[in-house]
Amino acid sequence: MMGENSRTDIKIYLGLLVLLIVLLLLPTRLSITWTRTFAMVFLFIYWASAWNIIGGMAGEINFLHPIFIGAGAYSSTVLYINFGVSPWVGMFLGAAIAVVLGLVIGWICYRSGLPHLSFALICLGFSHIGEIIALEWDLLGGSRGLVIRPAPGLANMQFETISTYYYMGLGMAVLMVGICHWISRNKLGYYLKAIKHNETASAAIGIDTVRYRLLALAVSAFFCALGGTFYAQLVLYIDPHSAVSITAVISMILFCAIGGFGTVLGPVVGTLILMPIGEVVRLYVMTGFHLIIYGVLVIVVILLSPHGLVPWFQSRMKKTQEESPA
Amino acid sequence: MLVSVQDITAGYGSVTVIKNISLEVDRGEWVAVIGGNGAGKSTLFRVISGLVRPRSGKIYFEGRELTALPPHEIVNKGIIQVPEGRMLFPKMNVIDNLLLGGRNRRARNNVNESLKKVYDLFPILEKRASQEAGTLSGGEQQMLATARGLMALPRVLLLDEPSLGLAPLMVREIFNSLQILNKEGMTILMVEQNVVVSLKNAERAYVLENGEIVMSGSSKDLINDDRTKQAYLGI
Amino acid sequence: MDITIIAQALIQGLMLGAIYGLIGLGITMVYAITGLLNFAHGDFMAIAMYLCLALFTHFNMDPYLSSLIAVPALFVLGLMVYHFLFRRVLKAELLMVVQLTLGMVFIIESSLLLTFTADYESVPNILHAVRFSLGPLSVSGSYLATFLVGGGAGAALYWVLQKTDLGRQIRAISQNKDAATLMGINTTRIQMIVFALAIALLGLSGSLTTSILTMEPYMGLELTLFAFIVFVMGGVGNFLGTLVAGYLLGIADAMGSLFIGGHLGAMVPYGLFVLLLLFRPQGILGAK
Ligand SMILES: Nc1ncnc2c1ncn2[C@@H]1O[C@H](COP(=O)(O)OP(=O)(O)O)[C@@H](O)[C@H]1O
Ligand SMILES: [Mg+2]
Repeated sequence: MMGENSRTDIKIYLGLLVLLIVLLLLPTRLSITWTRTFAMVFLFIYWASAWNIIGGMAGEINFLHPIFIGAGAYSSTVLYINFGVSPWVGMFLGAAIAVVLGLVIGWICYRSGLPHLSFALICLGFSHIGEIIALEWDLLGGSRGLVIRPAPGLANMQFETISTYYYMGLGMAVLMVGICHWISRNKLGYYLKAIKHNETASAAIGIDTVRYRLLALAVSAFFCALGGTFYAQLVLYIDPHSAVSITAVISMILFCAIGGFGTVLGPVVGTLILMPIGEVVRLYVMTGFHLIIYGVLVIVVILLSPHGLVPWFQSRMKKTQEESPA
Repeated sequence: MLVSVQDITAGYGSVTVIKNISLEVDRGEWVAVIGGNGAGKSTLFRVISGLVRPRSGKIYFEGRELTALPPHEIVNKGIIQVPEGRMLFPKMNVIDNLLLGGRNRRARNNVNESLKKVYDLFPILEKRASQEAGTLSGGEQQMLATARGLMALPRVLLLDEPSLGLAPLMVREIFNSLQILNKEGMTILMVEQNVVVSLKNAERAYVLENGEIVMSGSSKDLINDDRTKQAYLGI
Repeated sequence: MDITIIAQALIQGLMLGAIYGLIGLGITMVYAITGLLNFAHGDFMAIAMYLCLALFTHFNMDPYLSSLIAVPALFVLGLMVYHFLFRRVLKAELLMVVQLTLGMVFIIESSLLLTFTADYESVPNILHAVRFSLGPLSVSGSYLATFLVGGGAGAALYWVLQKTDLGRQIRAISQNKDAATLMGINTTRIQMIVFALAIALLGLSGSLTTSILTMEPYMGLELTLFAFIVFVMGGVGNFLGTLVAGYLLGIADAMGSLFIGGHLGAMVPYGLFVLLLLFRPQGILGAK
């Protein structure tokens, strides 16, 4: 058993290594548009993985991430535009705001033991309120948004070549997947799994469920906010619609769903499959059509393999190994 | 034979709960299936009512196969189950519960007579008519569950542990009513853990152990059988 | 503060509330007998509204007349969606149903966007310009019609649930599905009918509100959110509570837009919801 498992693991790691090498060499062959697209794909792998910590691993329907991303994007941008503070510094203010917001909302909701749906609605409500604040507050540019004047330079987190963003995004995605892998192999991961499976029983065996859910939420919020800053610097323009976007969090949820909820590689697989397809459709068929493709693919995957592609693939690999013990 | 269960095997997921069960009930008979907790009695009833599909085997009612029918069609044929734990509709009043019992295709045109009849049999229900079922006492709930079953004009009444959780006095009262019904011609198939009560009331019985029938015969023979005495009556 | 403004807000709130109650009642019924939560619920109302828009632009049809098409069309759509999708996830985990219906949100919203563009739209109806006044108060005819028809439909549906055989079957399934089956109720059929009925109600709500609510392709999710809020505020699965919560939310909405206005005013209903959940998590009429 043990041997088989580690052999499967080795195969997966080898596959990932090959994928990583391909991705490292890819920019030399890609057009600027596609390099930019892939930078965005990496950002979504990063975000979806961060969402997966609280959504997939702890199993809650969490829609707070538009606030977290917005906090990151708006904090660093406002500080940079108005006070010339480097985004490298500003992003930590954003992350801090996101963590505090997450902890406050989470603490109130988790303590009162709200059922899943009520919690999801509160999250949606807060995300809506976040969008409204961005629309109403002049400092944040209202509905016209904020434009970041191009001024390439490492200190400004702006780069001459788009491939630098590509590598930065790739690095962030790899880092985030590593963090998720680490969490899933440690106490936090086991506790989250137990809470997802049965919160009452977990509390009964002595797991401080509120504390670990808050911890997961804080980690998720922190990294999502940092991603928000990266997004602002990549696009150099943010507005309430794009930076506090419920569509974005739904996309993340769907990416995780296709790949496999709560699995480390699920968000990677889901995003890598859906986003490039969506992008091709957006570029060559019709913009707007890509979301229809996302929706259709998610429904198909859920009906055929309810737990997503990664668990399906793993069970297939196990089966073939059992059949041919070579 | 009114009901004929032939070689039924069934379970949940990959677990097999009952194996190769065969039994028969004739018109007007009162037959009991006795067995301990977890023997598979309720599963057998769920298969007969169509709530659980059997893996293999067939069930016939008046010579016609039931096994492929959806549950509500089985009810329409007059095979009425009074499930374990009564399964009343707790937030509806007594009347609504009774009306739901009497809404199947064969029974719906007879609702008023049926109501009169069950009120005669269980007068307390008429007094409680507008009370929520969830607020009734245990005995009253069992009466309501039985009455709800009778509203459906059963051609065979399946009773899943009618004595469960009731005080001895209440058990006697329920079984007195069942005796009256059976005398009037009602066919009864009942599963019970209470061996004494079962063998005292039913004409014939099957003994179910770990999902298999290990013994069967007339109640008289079973009461006098040494194995039954040892295993179930503690004599 | 002027008392007439408050009265005006109250009236307007009651009219919106009739619609919120109606779309919430659909969610409540579907949840009660299938346990399903449909995040695309509001998007079906958007479909109905755009159907009215299309009928208006191509045939100059009044939205009230279009309801005769929209209601049956959405009923059939509901039957199909249930048969091909929802039926298959009845036993799945909540999270999976959420994903499935979020997928539907994307499909419906993007389809509307591609077909009708992102422009804000509204369709006037025959009563739109008519105003009824009582002393200093005045309401537009389409608001009044919405209140009378929407509120009437909600009340009628409540009566059906409480007093008819269909209603008794629905309540029986919601209280104990297996027992309902043993009563000879075809639970599969009732589940499908109720789901389609809930969608058909959105056809009615949509046709009634084409002149009151501004249409845009992404409106569905916010409607869903309101419907869910009403559903939870009423005390999950409580039919009467849902209707009451609908009116409360409508009043909160109208007060917010009249006294605060703009985007900030739109936050008032959410504020009410959050407060209610914190102090009475089981909802207005829910049991502890
Ligand atoms: N819905 C179910 N899913 C899985 N196993 C079940 C289910 N219902 C009963 N069982 C199992 O089947 C066995 C027989 O149960 P049951 O038929 O209820 O027995 P009895 O009625 O004789 O007490 C038990 O071991 C029980 O755990
Ligand atoms: Mg039993």
